[in-house]
Formats: sequence, C-alpha cells, structure tokens
Amino acid sequence: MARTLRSALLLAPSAVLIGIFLIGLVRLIASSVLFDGQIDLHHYVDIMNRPDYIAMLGRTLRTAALTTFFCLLLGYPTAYYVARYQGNRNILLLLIIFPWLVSIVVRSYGWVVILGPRGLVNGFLMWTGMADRPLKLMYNDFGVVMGLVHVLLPFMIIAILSVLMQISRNLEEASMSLGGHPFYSFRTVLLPLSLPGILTGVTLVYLMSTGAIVTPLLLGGLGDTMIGTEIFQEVMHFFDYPKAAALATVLLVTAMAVVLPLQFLERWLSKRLTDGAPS
Amino acid sequence: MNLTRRQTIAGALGTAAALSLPGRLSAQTDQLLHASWGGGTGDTWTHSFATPYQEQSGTAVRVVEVPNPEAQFRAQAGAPQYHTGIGTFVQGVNLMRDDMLETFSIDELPAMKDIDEKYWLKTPDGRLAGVTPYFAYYGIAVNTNEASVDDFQSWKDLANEKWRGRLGMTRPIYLSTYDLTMFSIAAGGDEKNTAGGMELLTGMARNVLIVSNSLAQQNTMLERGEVAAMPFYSTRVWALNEAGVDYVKMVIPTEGSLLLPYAVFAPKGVKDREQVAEWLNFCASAKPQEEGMAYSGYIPANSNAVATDDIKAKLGMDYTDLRAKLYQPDWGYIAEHQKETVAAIDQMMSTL
Repeated sequence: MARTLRSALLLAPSAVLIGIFLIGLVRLIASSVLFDGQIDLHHYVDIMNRPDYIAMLGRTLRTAALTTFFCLLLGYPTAYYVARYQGNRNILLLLIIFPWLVSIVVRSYGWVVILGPRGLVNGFLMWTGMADRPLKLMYNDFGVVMGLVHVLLPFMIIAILSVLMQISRNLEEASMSLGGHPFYSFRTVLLPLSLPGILTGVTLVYLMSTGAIVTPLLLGGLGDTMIGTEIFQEVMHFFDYPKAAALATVLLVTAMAVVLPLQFLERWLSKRLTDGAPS
Repeated sequence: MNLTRRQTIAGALGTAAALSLPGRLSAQTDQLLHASWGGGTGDTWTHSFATPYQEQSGTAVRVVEVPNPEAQFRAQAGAPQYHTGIGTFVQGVNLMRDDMLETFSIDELPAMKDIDEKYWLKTPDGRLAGVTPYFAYYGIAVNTNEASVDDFQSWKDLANEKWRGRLGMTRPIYLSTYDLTMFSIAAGGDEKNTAGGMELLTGMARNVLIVSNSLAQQNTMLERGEVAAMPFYSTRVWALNEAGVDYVKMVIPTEGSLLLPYAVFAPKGVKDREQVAEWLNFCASAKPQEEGMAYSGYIPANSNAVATDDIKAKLGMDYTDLRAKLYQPDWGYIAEHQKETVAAIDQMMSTL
C-alpha cells in the first residue's frame, strides 16, 4: 500500500505535466474546428485551397530537413571529438552551450554583420574587386538554414554526446585490433551504437526547426515565410486564434508524420542494443 | 463623556461622510497606465505627454512599453489593466468595430473640436472611441549615398527594375495598408481599387533585397546603405536626421504621401473613467502635440498647434502645406478588407 502510494506520488508531477499538455493540445485542435458548438473545418479547407500555404508548408518541412541534415553533419564529429577529448571536457561543453547565453535575436543579427549587404564578406569581396555589388548571401533559404543550424546545433551535439559518452572506447579498439579500418569500425560499431542519440538529436532539431519564428523572420527573404511565422502573424496581427490553431495543427500533424516513425525506430534500436541481440 | 442623541446622530453622519469621501477618492487612481510601443514612441509619450500632464494635473501617467498595445487590449478584454494605449488608426478602427473601446462624448473631450473631423475615431452614433494625438506620413526614404532623391519622385520609381536588389520593404501586414494604398493612387486608383497598385507593388517586391521586421532593422538598413531606398515613416527619418544621419532623406513623391494618423484609446470598461477622459483630452490638445513634434517629428493633429521656424525649416514647409501633400484614405474600408488584402499580397509574393 505504502509502495503504491509512493509510486503514485512520484508519478503525480509527470501526470500533471502530461495532463496540462494534453488539455492544451485538445483545446488547440478544438478551437480550430468548433464554432458555436458545431464542427466546422473551413479553416482547414481554406489552408488546403491556398497554394501559398501549401508551398509554405513544403518550405517549412524542407528547411527543417536541411537544418537537421547540416546539424547532424556538423554535430556528430563535434560530439565525437568532445567525447574522446582527453583534456578538460567541461571547457568544450561550455563552448558548445555558450551561444545559449545570448539572445536568439542577437545571434541571428550577428549573421547580418557577417553576411549582410554591407557585411564583412561582401565588404571584402567588393574591396578586392571580386564583386562590383553586394552578393545576396542572406535573406534567402540559405540564410534561414544557416541561422537555424547555428541556433540548433548545440541540441544535436548534446543529444549525440550523451550517447557517445556511454560507449566504451574499448569497443572501437577491439574492432581495430581485429583488423577493422577506422571507418569500418565507425560504421559497424560506433554508428549503430550511437543511433539512439542521433535519432534523439534529429527529432529535437527537426521539431524545433518546423516551429521556428525568429530566425526565418530575421534572416529570411521575400518568399521564405514558414508556417511558424504565419502563425505568429495570425496571432499577433490578426488575433485570429482559430486560424492560427488550424495552422498549428497542420504543422503538428505533418511534423509528427516524420517524428513518430523516428521515435519508434529509436525505441526499437535501444531495445535491440540493450538486449545485446543479435550477434 | 456622555453624548446627546443629536451629538450621536451628527457623529454618525460625520463618520459616514468621512468614510464615503475616502471611498470616492480611493476609487480614483493616482497613476494612469498607458500602453505604448517601445523605443522612440515610448520616449515621446513619456517626455511630451506623460510628464507635462503630471506637472499640470498631479496625476502620474506611467508609460508601459509593450510590443503591440492592441494585443494587450484584446488579451485583457473585460478586465483591462491599462487605462489607455496608442495604436495605428487601423488598429483603433478594428478595436472599435469589435466593441472593445470605451466611448466618450465630444463634451468630455472638448479638445477634439480643434482636430479635423476626418481624423476622428468615431462610432456610427457619433461618439469618440479615442483621440488623435498626431500623425506621421509614409513616403520614400532614400539613402543619398546610394541614390538621388530625384530617382524617387514617383511611387512608380520603386517598381523600376534598375533598382533590382537595392530596395527594402516591410511585411505584408503593413504593405496591405500603406504601400498598396499609395501604389494604387500612383496607378490611378485608390484604396478601393487596387489592381494597378498591386502590379506596382509586385514590381517593387521584385526589386527588394530585404523584407524587414522592425523599425530598428529598417533604420539600420537605410543608415548602413544596405538598401538605397524604401517606403518608410517620416518620424523615423526625422529621428535619423536628428541623430546626425543627414544623408537619409524623406521624399514626398508627386502623387503625395500617405497620412498616418494615430489614435489613443481606452479599453471598454476602463477604470477611473473621468481621469482617463481628462488625460485623453490633454493628449488631443495642442501643447503636448507641439512638444511631440519638437521631440520626435510627430505632426500635431490639433489645428491650433504652431510650427516654430526651426520645425518649418526641417519640414521644408508649414503644417498646412504639408497636410495638402498627404493622402488620407478611408481607413475604415482598409481595416475591413485588411485580411483579404494581406492574403492577396502573400499569394503574390509566393509567386516571385
């Protein structure tokens, strides 16, 4: 009895948190379809009938995928380096999370100073005569992806690092001592074992990219509106909460279509790895 | 001590009166809360309106800087925390249509009699839903290191492809109300006939390097020469010029500039209504508006406001001549159709 009570008390905070999240989610969806007690899907019909919204949704998912890819490309080697670093690893960790101490607005504007029309790169190109007018290095897709990678890279690094730290170096050494080339050892030993961390990082970065607002607003160009910025406009400028809720629901569903399979894959892999099978 | 019946009754009445008086007084606040945008607008309200009002009336007005006063009013509908707030005229119209504003009679706000009725935020039954403290205008700001003011003597010039990649532009929410209106005028239409204006707006959009999100970003773009020109607010160029950035110039094109009246309003059911009316009336009067002009270039709406020689020199004309060059659209119509106009602009931009 006491044990049951203790378990219930321990579970209570999580239950409250999950309950609040679920209530919020249900209310979000309900506010997009319920009008005067009747179910009305006109916001969803409007969204699906607007070619610019469909394009925006595609752009959002594409930008999130590209951001996730580049975060993985940069994040994995960084996490590996930190995990295998022999010196004071805390200093490296501090460097990784240091950008979080600076406002996202400031971080995004930092790119303007570097890549803007009067920024360092364009200034150099024009000074050397390599360009006679500023190149458009930002205010486009590239600018948004670059800014998001900058903002979200630490999440990928830390997710992967947390798994790499659990993998004994002896496994790699055993593989290589049996004649495995370093890349072969990486591909057959380290990469499969670190997949749960990769999938966690991919899920985190992908989800945060799909809902990004500030970076696309500051670094995006004319046609680079993302769903997050559109939701922001509906809430902050038009106060059209039902439409914003409909857009958020569409975003949620499309994001989940990618994230849920990843979650199942992660669980399956984790189970497979912890069970130690198959050999 | 023995009290007679008369003394007892007198004492009771006196106590009741004494208790009722503080009760009345305590219903009045010693501080009004005014919601304002931040930065230069907030500074202007503190310097030119709130401080002089406190000196004159003894009632403090605390200017609270928020990203969007209209959003505060809507979020707090039914339980308002601010006494007043400032917004664009379109925001005022939208709030008024949604029955979210306290209304006043002209007798409560007599200073409004000195403001042209076309700037009134007025309900269909003739009550005032706010006061007009000043206006700005929307013209073309030019960085003269990058282009000449002669290059932008017409709104149509912004659509000239020789400016490809050299212009800045604001977001569709403002394009729908400001830029499209003036492009429509330039194309021979108006805010109700925007087909030609949309073509010119499309032309400008093709030339745009940066779509900006904030006044600070727009200031920086112009000051650093990241863009040669962009449609912009007279008050921001005024602030740049006052800060010594004299190479950014404001152009009123031959078709005119857009007159942008602002409105100060109170949320429906506002507390301390009488004090709020006094404060609003002060905002509608000439003196603080003259202060606001000298401080930040907001042009007084009150016709009794006088331009000093210094201000005339900076404007290049007096208030009457300036008003003659500005176009005042039907803001009610613009507000009513804003959402569909933004949708049309969004769709136009997605095709570029």
